[in-house]
Amino acid sequence: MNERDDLLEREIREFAAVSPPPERPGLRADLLAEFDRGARVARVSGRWRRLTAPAAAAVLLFAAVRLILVPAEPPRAGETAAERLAALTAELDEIAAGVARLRLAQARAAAAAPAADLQPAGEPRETESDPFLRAYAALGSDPALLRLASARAFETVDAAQAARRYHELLDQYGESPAAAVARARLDSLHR
Amino acid sequence: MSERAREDELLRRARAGDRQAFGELLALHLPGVRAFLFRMGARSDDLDDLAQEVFVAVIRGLKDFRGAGCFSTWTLGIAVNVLRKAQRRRPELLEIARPEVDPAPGPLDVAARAEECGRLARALRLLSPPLREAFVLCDVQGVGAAEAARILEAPEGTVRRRAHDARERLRALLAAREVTP
Repeated sequence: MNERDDLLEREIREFAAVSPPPERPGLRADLLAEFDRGARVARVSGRWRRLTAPAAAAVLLFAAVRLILVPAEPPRAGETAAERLAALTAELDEIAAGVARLRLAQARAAAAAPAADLQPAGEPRETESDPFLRAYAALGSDPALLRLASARAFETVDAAQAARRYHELLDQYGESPAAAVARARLDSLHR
Repeated sequence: MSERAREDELLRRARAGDRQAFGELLALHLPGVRAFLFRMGARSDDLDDLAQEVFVAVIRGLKDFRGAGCFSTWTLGIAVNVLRKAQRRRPELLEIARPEVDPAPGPLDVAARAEECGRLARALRLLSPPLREAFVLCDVQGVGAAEAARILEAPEGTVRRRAHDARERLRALLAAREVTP
């Protein structure tokens, strides 16, 4: 080793032996406080993600089951078949609106969850693989089938019983074009 | 339990929000990060601000750290990035040594120079940041070339060459007494 190498080695040893000045008092406490803040935020957002979608689904389930289990009101005096069908459609449209809210809530939850972004490309996201949402997506805006599908998807009510109730209901509307279409779709779903 | 296993356990617990585990990680790694920042030339008044910035970034990235490398490698990588960003904001942060000498240095200047701990510290300030980073990591901190390459996100050969160039330049500077007080 020549003189220049020796000089550098000596300087490096001296340099490495020098300690940094003492830590600022409170540095570690500040960092632990920052850690606590981060952990709190993570807990709240995680809880929000866990609660949002199931809560929306629970509200929707309640609405769907209530519609199916509560016996359909008999036509009121003076209410025409067309009016009754329109009322039923409006009632079922509320479910469709609930579905939209559920989708929105799940989309927000997925956007807020970084893990969702790690899902391999091409794999369906949770909202697409959920049988309940898939059923709704397939059935689109047909309220009668929407209602039956919710019964089947949740398996909380007897789908056959729900279908029978629908047939009875539709029978009240005779051969009106809307009732005929709904009946045909109901049959095709039930087969 | 091996040191690595113990650290993995602390990481797992810290990721789950365990304050005590994070405190232990801090105790293990804060001194190393401060030493690196100090050897890179951070003055005492900036040193802890930079160290704090590094560990705030560590806290924010903790959940994404998958343990693909050593925690200290990851932490030092963050320190390098924090230092580079800080230098872009304040080019004088790790100022290249200025040959002019204050004709009447005050007590604070004297203290600051004493803190620079000798000729090598002053010589280091004459090196470009990439050479300084490679030299401090490999020759002063004793980090292997492969690990330094991961920290600096550069090919290992490049890091070896930078450390070699830094040594050559430092030898010349020290021999020429360019940095002699």
